[in-house]
Amino acid sequence: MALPRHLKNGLTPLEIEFLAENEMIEIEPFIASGQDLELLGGTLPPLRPQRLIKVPLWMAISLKKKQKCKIATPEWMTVESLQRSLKEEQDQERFSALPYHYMELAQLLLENACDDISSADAVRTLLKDLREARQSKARQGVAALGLTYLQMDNIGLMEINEIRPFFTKAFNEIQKLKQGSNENDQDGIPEIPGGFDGSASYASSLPESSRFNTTQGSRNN
Amino acid sequence: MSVDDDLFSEFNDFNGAAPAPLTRDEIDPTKYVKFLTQAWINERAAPDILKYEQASVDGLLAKIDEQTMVIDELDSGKDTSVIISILYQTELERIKFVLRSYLRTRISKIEKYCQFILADTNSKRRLSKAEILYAEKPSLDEAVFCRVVEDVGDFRLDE
Repeated sequence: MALPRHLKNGLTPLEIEFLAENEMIEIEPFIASGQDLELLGGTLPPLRPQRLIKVPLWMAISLKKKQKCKIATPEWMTVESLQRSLKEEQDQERFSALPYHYMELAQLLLENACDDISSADAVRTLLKDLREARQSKARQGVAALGLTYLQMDNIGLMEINEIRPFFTKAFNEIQKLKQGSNENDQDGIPEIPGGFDGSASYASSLPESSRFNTTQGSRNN
Repeated sequence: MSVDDDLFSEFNDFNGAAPAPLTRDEIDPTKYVKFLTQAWINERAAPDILKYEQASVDGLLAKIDEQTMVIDELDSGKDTSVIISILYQTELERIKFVLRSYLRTRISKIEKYCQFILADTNSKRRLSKAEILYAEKPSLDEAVFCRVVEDVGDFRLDE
């Protein structure tokens, strides 16, 4: 009954993709369902041909596979919008504002509804550039890792997961060093909160989902 | 609950979805999936065992049965019914996946930290009744080696 070892370190990439499939997306159905869709997660109005409707991504993909709908490309995933995000990513120190599940959504849409995305190849290339720019930013975040927490606004869930094992481990090591130095020095070392965008603060008006805080209560390895 | 209570309430009792444990009747049934999913994510990320999401698990189990009957009653002759049936079943499979993974994650923690959890009142409080039974029952089915020190002749082993 025990979980395999590789499943114990937080969620797997596949499980994160699974979560992204709960996100709502707009589709244009080719069929009429003739009735409300009474799902356990909530009721959706009837599907009608040519009538745009928001449904969970898993449903959109399921219908798409049977050629029963067209999936509308989200605004942030168009070439113009991605070009803007990439420029922002290169010009600014902070992460550009992309959806929490942007990597998974893009991956799933390119995989399952490539023909519904205009200039899919350009979109793919832009996403790759964005990803690389953001990855190097996340690595730079190590330098900002302080004694109590690290704030990274707008980082995606998949990106958190990639750096989680390393960051939590490094964080624990820093804690150990701090304890060691407290024993040697009565005054201890000053508390330096680490803020990645330079503006370290505990209070933030940002939604929980776009924040990433490492605290002592997270995990041990 | 006053603000002070909030400050002193235990960090791990917070499960993201329902800060104060709600009973099954108090939760909007369409929130079961959301609460369970959040509880699953938290359970996977936390090093210790979190509060059991009793209301959503019980509520969902009942809902899954209901939905299974709805699917059975859909007219399989109609094209649209076939599509609806596929969509309903897909959702059920997704929910069952989360449910299984959630319960297995907890069982695996209980197995690993059994003695600690049973000795620690705070941890033990977070288990379901079935989980407490599981934790307290020593496993009598384990294989053991026996060294025979004396010949007793024929001996019949229990099945």
